[in-house]
Amino acid sequence: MPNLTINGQSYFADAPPDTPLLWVIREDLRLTGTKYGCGVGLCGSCTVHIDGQAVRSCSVTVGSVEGSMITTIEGLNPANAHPVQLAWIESNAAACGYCQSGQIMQAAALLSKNPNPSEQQIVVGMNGNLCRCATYSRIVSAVKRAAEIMNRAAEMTNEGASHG
Amino acid sequence: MVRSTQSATSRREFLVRSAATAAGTFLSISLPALGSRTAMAQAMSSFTPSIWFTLTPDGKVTMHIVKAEMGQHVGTGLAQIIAEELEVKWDDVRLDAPLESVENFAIYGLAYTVNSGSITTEFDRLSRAGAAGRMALIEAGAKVLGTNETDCTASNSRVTDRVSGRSVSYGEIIQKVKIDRKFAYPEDFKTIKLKVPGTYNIIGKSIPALDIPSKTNGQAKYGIDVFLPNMVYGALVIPRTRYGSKVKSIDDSEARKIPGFVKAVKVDDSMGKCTGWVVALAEKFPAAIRAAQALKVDVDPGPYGGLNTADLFAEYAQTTKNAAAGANWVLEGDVDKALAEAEKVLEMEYTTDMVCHATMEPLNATVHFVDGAWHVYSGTQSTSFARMTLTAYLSKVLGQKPEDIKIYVHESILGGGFGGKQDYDEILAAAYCAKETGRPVKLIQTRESTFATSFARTPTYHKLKAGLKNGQLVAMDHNICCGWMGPRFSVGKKYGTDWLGTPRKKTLISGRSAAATTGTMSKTIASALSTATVLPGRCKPARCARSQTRTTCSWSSLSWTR
Repeated sequence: MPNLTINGQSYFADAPPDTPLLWVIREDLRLTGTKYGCGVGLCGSCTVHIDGQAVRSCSVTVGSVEGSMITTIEGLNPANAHPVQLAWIESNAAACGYCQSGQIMQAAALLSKNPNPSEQQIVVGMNGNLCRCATYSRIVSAVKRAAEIMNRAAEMTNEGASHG
Repeated sequence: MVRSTQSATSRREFLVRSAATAAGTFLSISLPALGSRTAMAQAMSSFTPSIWFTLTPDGKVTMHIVKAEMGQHVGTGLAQIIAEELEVKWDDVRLDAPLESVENFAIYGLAYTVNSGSITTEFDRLSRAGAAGRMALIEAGAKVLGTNETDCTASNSRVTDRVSGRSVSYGEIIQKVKIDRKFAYPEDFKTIKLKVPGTYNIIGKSIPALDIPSKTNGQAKYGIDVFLPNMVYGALVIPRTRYGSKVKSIDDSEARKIPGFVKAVKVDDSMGKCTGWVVALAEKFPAAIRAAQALKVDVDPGPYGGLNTADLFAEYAQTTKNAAAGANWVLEGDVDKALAEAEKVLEMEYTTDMVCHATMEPLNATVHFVDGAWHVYSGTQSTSFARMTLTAYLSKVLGQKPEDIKIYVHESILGGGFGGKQDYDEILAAAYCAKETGRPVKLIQTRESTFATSFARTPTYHKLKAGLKNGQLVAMDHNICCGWMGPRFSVGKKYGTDWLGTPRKKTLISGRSAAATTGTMSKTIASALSTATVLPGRCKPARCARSQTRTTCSWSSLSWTR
């Protein structure tokens, strides 16, 4: 029975070790923000963070992620206060929204590594996340906006620190 | 259509009424909608008269949205329409979705979200519903303020006496005064004076969509996110053909070795729906997928077993050569004569492929039979058609009268629609599995089975002939053949819900007039074709202005089979 750490909580997964992480997250833990789209790592709807990396949860087994820190959309910031979530809401980025949990997790991982991505870097970084509503241009704008919000917050923190 | 929508022409009333319930005082508005008079009368006497919105003492207004939320933020748009006339503070607006049932169908009419038409079709009645609510609130507010209603105005969820400047909130009004305002319908309803463009405060503004915040923190619940106690999961064994397969035998010996496997169910396909479907049921979905792969199902692929795409196009091309097979959708002038007189004639064949709608949320349905009623949870573009189709199916399968079958369809957010979520096979199959197991069943089509069984757009074949004279287009002959939905989509006349009809040959659309066609869908297609085609009088690109035009459309029964 694999022991998983998801959104800071510890769970024993009542599933064989070769079960895709996606189904344990969704059907056992009922964290339904992570979506099933294709089951073979081609659409990005099921993207979660594993030790800070954006990973397709349909394509990793629960047995392989024991001891890892797993974050789902529910754990990113439940109050929608993460810069990516703020930017997404401000930009009306979501249409049907089904892929957006994955998009947001992908964007958050991208920005954690590259706080100032160029448009080209955003397109490349988000490339594996499909959106059938074709909200791509809004997603690119929202990632740029999220970077601004993050950097502004960082500046304010630095200013606060320098003023003691 | 199973229900006359125009049966009641006599004078009726609609109500704006406040009521005290255990949950507190609320104001609601009801008005006769599209149902028959009898159904309406039953609904009015047995149902909370809360139709388009409910105002509660805390000042919050919940708009009841009948259209499916599938990516266009339709709830926000429809709520803006009501809020504009109701003069309610936008921050106080909430949304919910009424349950689809026989009773609610009588009140709201057909719940069907298609053709990008929700705002245009709902604008008038929602505006009037909002305005009626405002009028009732102004009258009641004047009573609370002890003044004349003609001196009062409403804005921002408050009624204000212009003379004294005193005001009272909507929430306070419904706590202090019982509202029971009747309007004659349709007379009073139709004469309500609506705002005009240019005076809007809420309509026309880019307002943050109300559904988005729940979609950025994982809280939005789609059809696939439904869980019920004691639920069993279903995965489909992909049938050999999309239509016409017959199951001969099922060997579950390997599937039985999979932990959690419950059983294999051969879905009743006697109505021509879910033909050749076998569902593997298991305690968990990964086990259901494995079991579906492990089941050995012997299938007769039926009459379409050997069919491939090349066969379809060959048949389409052949059909367009048969003049008797086609119907003229557009016929302007003498195309043959113009072609004969042209200096140059160009001919070309074009095709479009079969296209799956490929919604990000795969097709799925959860069905639970409890306390004598079938509860359906599914992101569908028509909860009404879902209910009607399931009624017909269960009537056939259970041998019960349609009126004895109670069905409630719970609207869910759709992970995309695009026209691809108005087929109800998953719902029927999940219901059948629920009947077979006595447990709630959640049937999830995998991506693979969604591609294999969904109601894809037909391939089309086009033969175009253009006549040129003096560098101008003088004649265009456009001959189209595509698939017709046929028996798989329509549940059949003998079950009482043959709303689709069969395309009648020889239908003519000339200029702006469309000849009568058989069936709703024929009309829809006729109208789509008439606007999509160069149609003198409606669409006049300069270079085509003098062209003689003929568009001929025919259907092949082969499509939507494989």
